[in-house]
Amino acid sequence: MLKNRIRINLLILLVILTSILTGCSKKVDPKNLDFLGNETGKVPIEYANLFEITEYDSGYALLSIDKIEQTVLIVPEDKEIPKDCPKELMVVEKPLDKIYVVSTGAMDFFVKADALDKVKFASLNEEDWYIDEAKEALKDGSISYAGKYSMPDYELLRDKECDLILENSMITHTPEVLNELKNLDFPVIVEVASYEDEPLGRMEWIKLIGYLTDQEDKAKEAFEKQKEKVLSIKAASDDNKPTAIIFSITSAGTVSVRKSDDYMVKMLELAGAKNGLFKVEEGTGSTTIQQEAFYDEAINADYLIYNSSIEGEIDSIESLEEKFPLIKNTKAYKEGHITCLKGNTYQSVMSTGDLIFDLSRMFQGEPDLEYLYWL
Amino acid sequence: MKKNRTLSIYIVLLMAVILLLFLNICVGSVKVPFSEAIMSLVGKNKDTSFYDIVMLIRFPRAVGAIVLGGGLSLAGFALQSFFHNPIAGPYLLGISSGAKLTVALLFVFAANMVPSAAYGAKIICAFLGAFLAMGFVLLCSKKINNMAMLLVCGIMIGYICSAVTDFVVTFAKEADIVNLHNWTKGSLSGLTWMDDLVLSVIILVASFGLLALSKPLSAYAMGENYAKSVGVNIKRFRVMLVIISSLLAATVTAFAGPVSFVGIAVPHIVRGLTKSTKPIVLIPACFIGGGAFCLLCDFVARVILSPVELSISTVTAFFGAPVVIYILIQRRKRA
Repeated sequence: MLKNRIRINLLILLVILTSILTGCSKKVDPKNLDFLGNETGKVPIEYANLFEITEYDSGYALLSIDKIEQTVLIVPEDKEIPKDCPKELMVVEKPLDKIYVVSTGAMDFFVKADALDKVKFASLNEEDWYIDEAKEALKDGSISYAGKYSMPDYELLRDKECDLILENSMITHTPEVLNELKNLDFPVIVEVASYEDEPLGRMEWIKLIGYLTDQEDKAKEAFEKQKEKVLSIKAASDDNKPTAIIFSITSAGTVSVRKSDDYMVKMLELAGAKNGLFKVEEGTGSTTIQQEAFYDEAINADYLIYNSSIEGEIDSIESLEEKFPLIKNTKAYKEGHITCLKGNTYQSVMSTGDLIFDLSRMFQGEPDLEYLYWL
Repeated sequence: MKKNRTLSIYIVLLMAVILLLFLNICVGSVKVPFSEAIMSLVGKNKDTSFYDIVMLIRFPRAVGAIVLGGGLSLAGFALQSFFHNPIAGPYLLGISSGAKLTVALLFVFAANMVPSAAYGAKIICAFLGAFLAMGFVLLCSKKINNMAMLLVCGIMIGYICSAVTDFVVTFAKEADIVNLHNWTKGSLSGLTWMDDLVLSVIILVASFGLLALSKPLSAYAMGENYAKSVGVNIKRFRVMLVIISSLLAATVTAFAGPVSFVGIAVPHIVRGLTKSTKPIVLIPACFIGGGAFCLLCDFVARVILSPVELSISTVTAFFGAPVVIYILIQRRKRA
């Protein structure tokens, strides 16, 4: 029954995403791509499953993004757009140095790939950034605020000749915006890194940013650094692993938790714990469940981690008790094992390795943590 | 004969409340054995999670559903009588929009300043907004004698509040918009015994206040001139009625967010069942009927996609609208 519902939900999501994004890039007939020549190889990807970059002897490359079936032709600096390029194919022309980063999670990729100078527009104002470099760039004017995903400043983007718009899946909620961007001939790439089921896969999207901005080495270096950190964690044997649950209480009083295949659940596993929610939906992303369903499993979890990304940070255990009085009866509460993720984590995607390392330290009872704090 | 019918309807409605209360307590996303639920109800097995689920999650929520449903239904009844308008509901006077505006202001501008008191602040803000909107309606009622025009004033205040809310949301962060969106869907989740105590005191006092206005309401139903001729102080009566209905609707909005359709649907259903127009008969019946209706809707909201929960307004509208259409068609046929 649950599996059927998940299948139906996934099917609906797929239909919506596909139908919306046909406005962005229709499925391209491979016969119409003869101008690409012969395939010479793919950009090496280890963990990410949702994108790939294929290179051709003509110098062109094709970016394919799963989930939304987007195909993008990447034109190198010394090449023109091929005359026989199908109209339905989204085209991105290098060099890209007037990029509008709508996806807040992607800004960290640019910072860590040393490509922030390629970004000229952002979807958040200075005060809303947790990433210092982005904050500073907004302050000194090297990056301009160009409206949020649902209300981009089309005139500013056209006037300043924006050459790439990097969206995330939020854009699927406003298909009219995507259509308008297409009508105005803006190249749009929709990153779906948050749908990756591996935390390392999510971080590996930095390689796409590196490829687009010709900072591949820096991007690879940043990724390898995080990978090493994660792989250095030595987890306990399965029997001794603690159970942990990431959750938050919504403004409607329900409980938001991560689905069983979500990257945050995988982060717990990489940090040496087991997901404490056994009856939660399969898939990635979050879902809301009833308080009693949450309580039934949370009561025995060794650790409870409050996710501040949507509902905001919790300043004390008393605040959590006010939101959810039954927290007092949980094992984690009695043992003082409740923490809160700091608000900056959702923007600092390339610190995911550090966060996993922090989680592993948390499971060892370390008092001072960098990305979390004890309640 | 009519007294017997009324009594029968009261008994049926009360039995429905008891049955649905029991159902709401015993059934949910966690399978609690029937024997464990009963043990919990009689105060045994206090150390088990079943006890917590039954006595600290389901029971206070179900009691809240009864009282909030009763309150909303009475607010609708009072406004329909007052405006002589079958579609008048608690939200036509801008009460819900006022509450939504102040809660939006809290989420967008102040949530970070008052995180520890966010839950309490949400309730206080919703009350404040509802009463501000109501205050404007009362101010208008001093200048406007025509009921239809006063109703239009309420609708306009609602529009103004919605416009300001949209303006505020334009500058909000995505997380704040999500929070506001979740709240506006309405939910009875998280109600505690303390919440029940507070909301019950307010709603029961307001409900008895409305019951005390039964006679003037009855006279007013015959026309404003007739009510004046039998000694009803129309000005004071109007102010009292607006305050009571606003208080009822504001309390519900503060504790459960905006819950749609109960205020419109239940009075129609109850009128159809009792075949009475007397406020003294309809007021208690509306309260009990509203409680039963909300219990049923909350049960469906919790169980149908368990462990995911539907918003209560989705279910109330889904069940309420067809029933009202049916009753209106039946009434039209009879006429």
